[in-house]
Amino acid sequence: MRKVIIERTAYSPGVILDPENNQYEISGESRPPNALAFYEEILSWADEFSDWLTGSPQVSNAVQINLDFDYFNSSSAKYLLDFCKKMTRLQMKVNNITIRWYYDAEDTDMLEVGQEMSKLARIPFEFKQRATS
Amino acid sequence: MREIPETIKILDYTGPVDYRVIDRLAVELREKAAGENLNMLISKRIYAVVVECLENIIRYADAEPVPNNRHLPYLTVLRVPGRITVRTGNLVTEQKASDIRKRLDLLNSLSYRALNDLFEQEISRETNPGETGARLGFIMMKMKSGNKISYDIDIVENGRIYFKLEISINE
Repeated sequence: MRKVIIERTAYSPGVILDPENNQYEISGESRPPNALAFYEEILSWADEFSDWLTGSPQVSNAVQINLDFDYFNSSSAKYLLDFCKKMTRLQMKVNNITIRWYYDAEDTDMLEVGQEMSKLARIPFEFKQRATS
Repeated sequence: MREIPETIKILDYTGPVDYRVIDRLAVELREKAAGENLNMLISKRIYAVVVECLENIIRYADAEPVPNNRHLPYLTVLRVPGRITVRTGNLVTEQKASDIRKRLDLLNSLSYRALNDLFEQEISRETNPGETGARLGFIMMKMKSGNKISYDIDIVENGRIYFKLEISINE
């Protein structure tokens, strides 16, 4: 199963979707000029990953997906929700997917939007407060 | 004697807007907001509103420019006692001005709960080809602000409107 690694920039998140090392994370700031082009790769990876995981009963590792954003714009929000919905469908088949949503203690908006995403995608998130520096 | 409220200009830009300009202004805003000792939540709300405003300028900037660089887009962020005000202006076509006005009138009429319901509908909706993607942006701006979004228009010429927005975020 292929991995997707995208370096973080000032306007686009870092992406690690690496089944070989069981590491899954999207983090940073998301306001890419073309959100569709950016998230298309992630969404198509999610489809391939679902096919691979459901067709590989020998793979028994729990999958923890870390979503750790400083900020995402409205265009990115739609695609993030699509990604979470794909993970919900996968969770219904394999039952070992967890989405962990990070937020700063002071940033109650980020917590609330995570709760909203979890509700709309119909998958419980684990909410994790970032350590304060 | 009546005290004159102190106004601090956090950000002030006039000129064409593209994604490089957004990057530059985003960095500048972060630095200036840190210098103002705003708390993290307010800083992030301002940042979100400013980014959506600038992206909207790009999304809606299809009106022909006016000669002599008149009516260029602008964005200012002001701190007045108790709140931060984000002001923007840019040229749009008459049709788009009408669409934006209808959209803002609707958003301004909604309760917080109704706005949240609309957010849920909009984020879950498939985007149609040719849409600007600004619908969800306006909803997110209104949610971050918590206040009505004010607007004003100047009729320029040849079916062009200079559309001005004002969004306030309470401290």
